Amino acid sequence: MNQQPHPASWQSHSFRAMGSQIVLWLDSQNVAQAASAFAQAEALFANNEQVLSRFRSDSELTQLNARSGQWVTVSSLMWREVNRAVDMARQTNGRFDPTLLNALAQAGYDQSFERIGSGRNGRWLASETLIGRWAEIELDETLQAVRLPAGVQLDLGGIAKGDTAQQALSLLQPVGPCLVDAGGDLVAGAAPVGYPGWPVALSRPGADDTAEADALATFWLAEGALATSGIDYRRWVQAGVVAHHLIDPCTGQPANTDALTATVLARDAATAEAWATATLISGADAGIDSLLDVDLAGLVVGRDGRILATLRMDHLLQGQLSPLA
Amino acid sequence: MTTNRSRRTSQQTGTLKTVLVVGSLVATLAGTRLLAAQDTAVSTTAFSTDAAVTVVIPADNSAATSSSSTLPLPPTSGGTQVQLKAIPQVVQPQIRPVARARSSR
Repeated sequence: MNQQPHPASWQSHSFRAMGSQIVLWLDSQNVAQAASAFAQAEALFANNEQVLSRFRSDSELTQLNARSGQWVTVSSLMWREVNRAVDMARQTNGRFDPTLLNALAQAGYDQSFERIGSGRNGRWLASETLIGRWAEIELDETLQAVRLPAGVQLDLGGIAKGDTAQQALSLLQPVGPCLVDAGGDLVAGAAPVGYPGWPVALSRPGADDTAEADALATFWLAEGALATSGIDYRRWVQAGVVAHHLIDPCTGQPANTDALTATVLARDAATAEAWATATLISGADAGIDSLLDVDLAGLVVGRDGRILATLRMDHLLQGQLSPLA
Repeated sequence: MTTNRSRRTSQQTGTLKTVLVVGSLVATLAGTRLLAAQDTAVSTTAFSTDAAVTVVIPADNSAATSSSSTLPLPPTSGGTQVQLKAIPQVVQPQIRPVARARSSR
């Protein structure tokens, strides 16, 4: 299929941050303003990664995790992200759980994904030590302080990246219509001039990024966030067993789910991210049911090849532009 | 009790919606594939509804009138012309996607 090139006013800037390739898009004729906004957004990602990364020994998150059981005064950014994570855990009834870092590390995901080897030895944590520990996180708004339950550590991974993408969008928006692609999680502002949205594709699970035929669909995206959780990419061999990074809070083990990927559309990236994870862990049918219960748009690709979607997601794929209304 | 019943009803409705939507989605994906095979001009509108379809129903409607469960068609000499509005079609972007939604890389 012949495809039109992008208009000259669509400017982009890419870099690596938070373990992902980040691509920023702006529709603006003003090159200098766009360059300045791109630089600010890249600096934002770098700063947030320094604060929120669990892979950096000097990050604020690592220091907070090291002091579990104690009250710790935190930065405004950490306060925002911890509150967001706890709120999403509450909304998803614990299916998204930010307190599974120990289980994730035991599963072998104890360093950035690029460095994970295979054939490592590990053990699974007993489930009774895991369930619902997010509800024990204490928050003191007056002192802007957090107390993690003793022995519990936070992983803000997807929430942190999604919310950083949302913040980056805010930096770009004064310059013009924009979109942030954070490793496959997309946050869109206004549609570019003359178009109904940003043209985006929904990849098949495990697809080659570059192949046109590997897209399930292409559609327009504007004023919304699209996040995908999947067990099709971040997986490795642990003690002879294929493991992946999505831990079931009920078992402490990589989720045994019939869903391969779950994609959720929401007004903001953190909500989309948390619900995509919760949906995947719930399984295809139960996951879609839960999205319908909370009136969110989503699509699940099952291991058996089934594709389930909510009506709103169907509308998005059909080109209707207000699935969030 | 009321809460439980409401939730059960909601789940049943949700499951029904899912079943209905799956068929619609398959049609959508099939539609976008078909359109992808065409080499059409760029369109920035979501729908194309400008084409109409004319269907000619043959005058010989004896088969229809012989069925007890089907209303007879009005008698005509040359057939009945029915103007149908075009079915709205999906117009996927004909411009190269700027991003791919996928599990985190």
